[in-house]
Amino acid sequence: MQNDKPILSISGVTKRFGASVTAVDDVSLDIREGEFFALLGPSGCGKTTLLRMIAGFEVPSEGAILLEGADISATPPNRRPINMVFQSYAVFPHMSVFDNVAYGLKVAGTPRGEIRAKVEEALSLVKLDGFAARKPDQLSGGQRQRVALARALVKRPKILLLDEPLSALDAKLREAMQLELTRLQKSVGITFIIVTHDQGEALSMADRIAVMEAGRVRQVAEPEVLYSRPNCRFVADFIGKINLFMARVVRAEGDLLHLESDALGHVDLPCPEAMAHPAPGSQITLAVRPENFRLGGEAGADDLHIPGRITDHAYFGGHSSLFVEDKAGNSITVSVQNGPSMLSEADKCDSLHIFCSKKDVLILPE
Amino acid sequence: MDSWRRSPLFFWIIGLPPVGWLAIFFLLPLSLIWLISFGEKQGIVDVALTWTLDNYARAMESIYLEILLKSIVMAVAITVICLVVAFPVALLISFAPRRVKPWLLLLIVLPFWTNLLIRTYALIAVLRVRGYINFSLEWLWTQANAALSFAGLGQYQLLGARFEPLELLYNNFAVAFGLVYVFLPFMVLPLYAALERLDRSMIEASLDLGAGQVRTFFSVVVPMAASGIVSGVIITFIPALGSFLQPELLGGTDSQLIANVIERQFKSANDWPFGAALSFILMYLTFFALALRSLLAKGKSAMEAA
Ligand SMILES: Nc1ncnc2c1ncn2[C@@H]1O[C@H](COP(=O)(O)OP(=O)(O)OP(=O)(O)O)[C@@H](O)[C@H]1O
Ligand SMILES: [Mg+2]
Repeated sequence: MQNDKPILSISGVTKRFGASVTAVDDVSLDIREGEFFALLGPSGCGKTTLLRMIAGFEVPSEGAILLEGADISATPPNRRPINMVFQSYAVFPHMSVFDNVAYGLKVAGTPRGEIRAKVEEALSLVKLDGFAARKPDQLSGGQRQRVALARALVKRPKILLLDEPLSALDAKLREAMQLELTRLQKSVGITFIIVTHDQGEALSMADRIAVMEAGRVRQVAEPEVLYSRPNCRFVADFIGKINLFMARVVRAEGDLLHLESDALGHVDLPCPEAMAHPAPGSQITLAVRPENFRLGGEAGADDLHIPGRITDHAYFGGHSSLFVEDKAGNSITVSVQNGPSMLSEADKCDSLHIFCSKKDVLILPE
Repeated sequence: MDSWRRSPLFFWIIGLPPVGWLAIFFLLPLSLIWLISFGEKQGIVDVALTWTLDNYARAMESIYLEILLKSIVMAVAITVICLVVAFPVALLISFAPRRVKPWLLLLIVLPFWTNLLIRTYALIAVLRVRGYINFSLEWLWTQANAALSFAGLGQYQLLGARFEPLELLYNNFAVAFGLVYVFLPFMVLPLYAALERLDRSMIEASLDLGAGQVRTFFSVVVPMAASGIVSGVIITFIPALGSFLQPELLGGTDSQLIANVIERQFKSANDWPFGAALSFILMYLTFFALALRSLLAKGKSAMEAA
């Protein structure tokens, strides 16, 4: 289903509210046909505003939005082949489930006979067969959301927008719906753009993710790339858990950087391609994921090792987080799989060494 | 909460004064009037309770039925005009920027701060032959004539030899105008409250699904404001049906409404029993309208449940 042709191009879009608020700041994105795209970022970073500009509820202050190459920046929402599932679902309370789903078709002048068939198909797509006659106040939150989904899908839009669709559901239902949404997206083949502030949700559902901060897009990448090769400190910190260490550049030898860090000691690392070579003496940030540390065992030739002691631990079922304090007083989080004797053994150690392979150390430009 | 319910004394203490008030000043006079409506006039001030139905029979005479019918038609018309005028106003206020909203609401409520009688007299100054509307029209007429003269068409007197003022006062139009003017805020406020509760994303969802502004207004905004429409209609229709000041001050000889007839019975005609009977017929009509409404609402929800 997926190819590399962009269905939606956002180019240099800025949205200002009044003189002081810049909600979206010079964002450029290409969204490919048939992909499941996520806009991820902390609260207030401009995700909803960007989505509303794609839907047509806000007009960009600058820049253009192109749908299949045609500029739609000034097209009103009712003339865009784009539909939206609202965060509050916005299911019409005075209409039955059937009438809600049929609304968009009736408005478009679809013949009556066709409407019935299409509505039933859409309802069975979201597993709501038999609910057609119900009123929205006779539905649970999850069911109401399915109505909103069916109502948008029945229009067969080129793009479906979802604004935090799962945030009002409880944890169990949310997980089930995550799976179902991805399944649904693959089966209908419509491009989905979802807004979320939950990184787990974005990682598990999306083909590609744009991480936003304060109105700007910081990185656009596949989930694995985002996790293993974040391009900045903000993304590294926002996606998953990570330990950050300050380091000083001692000197650069070709592509190899000699760094000095009070936690990791002396490290030689290749400079990342995307980064300009830092001047000697400048500060950079190093990062290591908690699961890339090992406790005990033998150090390999290329491993870094840090002496420290365990100050605390937190149990999460499948894994535990250990909080290790190094000699300089930095707190380092280490994630370990829970084996039968793991914790009790680790607990006993008053002083220990943690290891990590050099290739797992990330260099983050500031 | 529960311990409150278990302490009946508390409820008696806070409940008794208002109940007593209602009984003494509302139920008692109402019962008196009800009794009087079955009485006969004796002498100048006395009424004998004879359980006669003559007063009600007399109210069924065609002259009174006609006035009653006219009052109903007038009240319906006033309510419809108020609804049509108030809806856009309420919509405008609810969509106004947050800063100006309180000021717009203040404008709507402002007339309440002025005595109704004064406001109605002020309307006379606006509507009469030498009133502000006619002054404005005359000014326009003069300007238009001057423009015509300037264009060299002066001698044809295209707009008539002289300005003819409009007869705006002392007729049914003036009564309707006055009533709409008075009841508009009663319609605007409940509509505004309903529209304020309306989730903006409902409107956006309708637009998003391809509906235009007009379709969205009639398919989403109006049905979702139904509760406000019903309360607005009720609190406009009932007092409009019993209105008496506007026909009195603004109306002509043919503008009498049922309330004017009732007033005359209690005052100049000094026929309390007949006035009481007319009052109760008006009240029964109102009850009937309210019962009809709740019946319709019940039937509708029953139909939907089926
Ligand atoms: N209509 C508006 N007028 C003024 N400021 C606005 C308006 N809409 C949004 N903003 C501001 O723009 C910024 C971005 O808002 P937006 O709703 O896009 O954030 P978000 O990323 O969706 O956040 P959340 O996760 O909390 O929903 C916020 O600072 C917000 O206060
Ligand atoms: Mg948002």
